[in-house]
Amino acid sequence: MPRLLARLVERALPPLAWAAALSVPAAFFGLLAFLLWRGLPSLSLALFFGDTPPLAALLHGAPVFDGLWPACLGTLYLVLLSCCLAIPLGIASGICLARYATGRAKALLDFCVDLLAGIPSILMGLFGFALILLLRKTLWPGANTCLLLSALCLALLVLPYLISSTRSCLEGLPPELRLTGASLGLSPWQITARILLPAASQGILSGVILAVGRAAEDTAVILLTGVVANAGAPGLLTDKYEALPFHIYYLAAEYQTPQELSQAFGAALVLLCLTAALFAASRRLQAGLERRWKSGRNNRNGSIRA
Amino acid sequence: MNSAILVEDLSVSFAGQEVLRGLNLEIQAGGPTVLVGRSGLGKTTLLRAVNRLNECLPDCVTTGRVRLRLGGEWVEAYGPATVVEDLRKRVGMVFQTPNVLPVSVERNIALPLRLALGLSAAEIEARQEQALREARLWDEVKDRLAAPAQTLSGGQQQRLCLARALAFAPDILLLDEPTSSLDYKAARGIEDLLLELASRYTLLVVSHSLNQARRLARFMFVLREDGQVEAVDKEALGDKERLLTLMDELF
Repeated sequence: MPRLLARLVERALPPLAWAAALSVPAAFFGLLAFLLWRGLPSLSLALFFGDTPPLAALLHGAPVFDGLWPACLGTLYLVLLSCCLAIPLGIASGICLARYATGRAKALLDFCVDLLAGIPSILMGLFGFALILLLRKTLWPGANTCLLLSALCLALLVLPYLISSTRSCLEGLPPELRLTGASLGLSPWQITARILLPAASQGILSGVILAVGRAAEDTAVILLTGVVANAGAPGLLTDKYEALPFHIYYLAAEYQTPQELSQAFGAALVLLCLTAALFAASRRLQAGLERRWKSGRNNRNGSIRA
Repeated sequence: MNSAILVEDLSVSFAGQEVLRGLNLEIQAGGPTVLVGRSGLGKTTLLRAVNRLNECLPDCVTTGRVRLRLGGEWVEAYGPATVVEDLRKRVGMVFQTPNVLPVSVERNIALPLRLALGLSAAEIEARQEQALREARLWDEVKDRLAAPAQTLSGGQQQRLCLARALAFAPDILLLDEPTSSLDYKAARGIEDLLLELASRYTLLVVSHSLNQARRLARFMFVLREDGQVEAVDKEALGDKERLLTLMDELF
């Protein structure tokens, strides 16, 4: 009897594993189909620009009142700004953890990264809010929640993804690679920057993609640090701004008409496309950099750069 | 005598574990000088003490003196004024398993040359071809220079590593069991090549195979259990029976 059971388990395991694996694409395509079904009908130029002529908004910055355009720009700026802050810091910290830190210092740093990864995003928003209150009372009485503050808090939120992916990729490289670099007379910095980081770039990219996705979708952080329902296109870093996830949240929570709800689905679809475009852009950038590193050529049939 | 490497009272330990103790060795210019000995006795450590690569491994402590003749001048390898990167540019190394960089064939040579020596693109291209010809690889790879280096065969990869070292125009070449991961034919190819190169470079070769050592060596040293080296005299090198008896005693 136990042998029969064992055989049954052996038989059942592969289809179960397949079912589990297929549930991921099934969930993704189900979600996508639902979003397309509800969101696609509302997609139009009017969804983006309301009553403002699109060209006037795009070329001359004419204010858009009833459309997604300012929120699209807000989210784009927010993601780019927070990535500009977080990516260099995250990669540098990952290098430090993988290459330089040892013993208790490494354990402590590791613990801090884990801790930071575990902080709920609403808490990060609260931190930003408290920071502004503190600044108002002390150094900067005019301080207010704004785009820069949100980007700063989002950067903190995504930092652990970047640190962990950089670190694990660098540690996963074969140790001979470092020895090879050293035996060729390269300095420690040259080995890290010109051999190890390029070799690990694909793994670092997956951290960047996680970070971009997280920064684009997070609502809790921006809720307390500067996003508003109607701010128009973002101007200065110290201005309030609109953002797609907040726009979706706001519409879904307070819609008055079915049209407004379907606008929210439209906005969700736009957010998905925007994130996908950012993923594609970072993938292209990484692939280009990697090709250049591997071949020493700027393009497939370009000149040798050595 | 025309020495190229002088090792005096060299001791190396890793995490408190002593691998080499009070070792003295004089290596002649040219060669090849072959270092044999049982595995685990520290042949690789001795080789890496010459280009100070042991320092890249954790918890390594080296004491003693290593002097190298580089460009006609004696250099203290462990002297305070010696820049370790400069030393390694003059002392090439080929590892036990082919350690190509995960980039194209040509870039394997071009990238280190550019980073370490800061050469111009034209100079790099010239040296690249010359080194590949010297390593007898040019004819096999000249049409696939842009292909990933990992697509070459094991023997070709090892010759690429040799070419990469030669492209630096080093004074000394350290080879750590350079044929151990290769098949018989590829190994013989590398051996022939090393014999040829010995007229232009000082070669220090670690080998675990006595047959290979006999084919290659103009000078031979045996690393003993107690961390000391013993020279094998010239007559013994030519006499197979005598060499085998000697090896039986030492191994």
